[in-house]
Amino acid sequence: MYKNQYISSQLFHNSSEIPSTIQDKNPGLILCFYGADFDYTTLFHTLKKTGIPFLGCMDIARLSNSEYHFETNSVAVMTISKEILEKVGIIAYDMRKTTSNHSMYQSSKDEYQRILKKLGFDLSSPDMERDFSINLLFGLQSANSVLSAQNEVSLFQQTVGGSSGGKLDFVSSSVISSKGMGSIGATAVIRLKPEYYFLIDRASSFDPMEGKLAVTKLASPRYILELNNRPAAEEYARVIGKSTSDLGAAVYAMYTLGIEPGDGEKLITSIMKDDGNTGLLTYNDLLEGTHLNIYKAKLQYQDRLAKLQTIDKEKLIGYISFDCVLCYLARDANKEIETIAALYETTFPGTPKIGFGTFSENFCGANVNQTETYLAILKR
Amino acid sequence: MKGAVYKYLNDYFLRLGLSENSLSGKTKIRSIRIQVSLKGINLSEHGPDSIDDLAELEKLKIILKSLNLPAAA
Repeated sequence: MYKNQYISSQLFHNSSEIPSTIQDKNPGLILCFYGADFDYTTLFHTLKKTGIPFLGCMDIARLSNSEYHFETNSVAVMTISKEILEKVGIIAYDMRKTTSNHSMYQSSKDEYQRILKKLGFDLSSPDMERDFSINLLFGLQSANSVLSAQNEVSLFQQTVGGSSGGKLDFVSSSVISSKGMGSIGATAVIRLKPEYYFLIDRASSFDPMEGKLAVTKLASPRYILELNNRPAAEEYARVIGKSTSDLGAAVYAMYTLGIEPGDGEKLITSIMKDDGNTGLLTYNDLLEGTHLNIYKAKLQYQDRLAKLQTIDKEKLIGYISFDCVLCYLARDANKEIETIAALYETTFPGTPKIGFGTFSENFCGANVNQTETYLAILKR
Repeated sequence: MKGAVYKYLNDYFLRLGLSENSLSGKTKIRSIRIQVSLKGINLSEHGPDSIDDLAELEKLKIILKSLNLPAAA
């Protein structure tokens, strides 16, 4: 177990071990990320009995302190003490596959508005150093409608999180919270006490390539028919110097798309697969008329190092990582698992750390892919 | 028009009283930039020296108006 006076983090293989291990830490919030074969129903009922607000989800793999865990039968648990939490509220909303985007938008918006008002948050001007929200969204549904609802409720309330993961058959991917479990989205709305503050940021590892791809025809927000007024797959293959017969999951992960908000950051949108013809399906919503940049993936070490070095390690008391499943798989393929895990550990030795492999990541209201978004909690 | 989108956006931040000098201002500016990007403007194409289409500037104005941030004139 890694712990300090405020936060602890530990890996478990059995839900029954959790309550006795965490009870002496005065927890005000529990976060947990579990493998696809972990009995999450028992975990839900176990945590529910503690009466402590909690949020958790299924994943493909998880970070627990100094190691990544790819086994499917463990759960990484982080407890955050009441000592640092001024306010906590949990909401949950329906995200079943049969639920329409409009319905998800409306129910998540209503709940978000309700909890922020109930807790006395200033919607137009939240405390930018102490107020934030953590989202865990059902991974087999689009996160975009929930995030756009949250942006409408409060543009400046900072959000971070991800969509639940699971096995790559994309059959099962649950979320649990003190307000329910299953095919739901759950959000923790948090205000830290004045002695503490947070940072939300992102890291991805891509080099820009020449050329642009204008989205000129969509069948739906995640279904591109034409890029640069040409059949989407043909034009994408042309600009990356491949033929359409080369296209597949590995090429899509290597040559990805995105836009930039003009401050050097990247909002990545990954291609999932072709449509069996010349269209392309993406992991993120797009708008017609958007000019997409093209990026080529590279090793993760340097970019992650650069980001981690911006965090004051003397003040850091906890680190929560929402890291794309494709980043986990890329680390595995590039033999970077141990070097990246060691990077976190050597940069923040002994600091409680937790994270999971997401099906998409949230970053300040944006849904992104192939990115790590993270929440750092610090003591002033 | 040279740098039109870049300049309009920076003027907008000033009108809101936002600056990069504080964590609060920096984070609010980041949120606005992200919203502009999500609504279809790739800001990597619009720097101080880019030759901007006026249609893109109009698009920016509409997006910023839709954010409904009251302090903006």
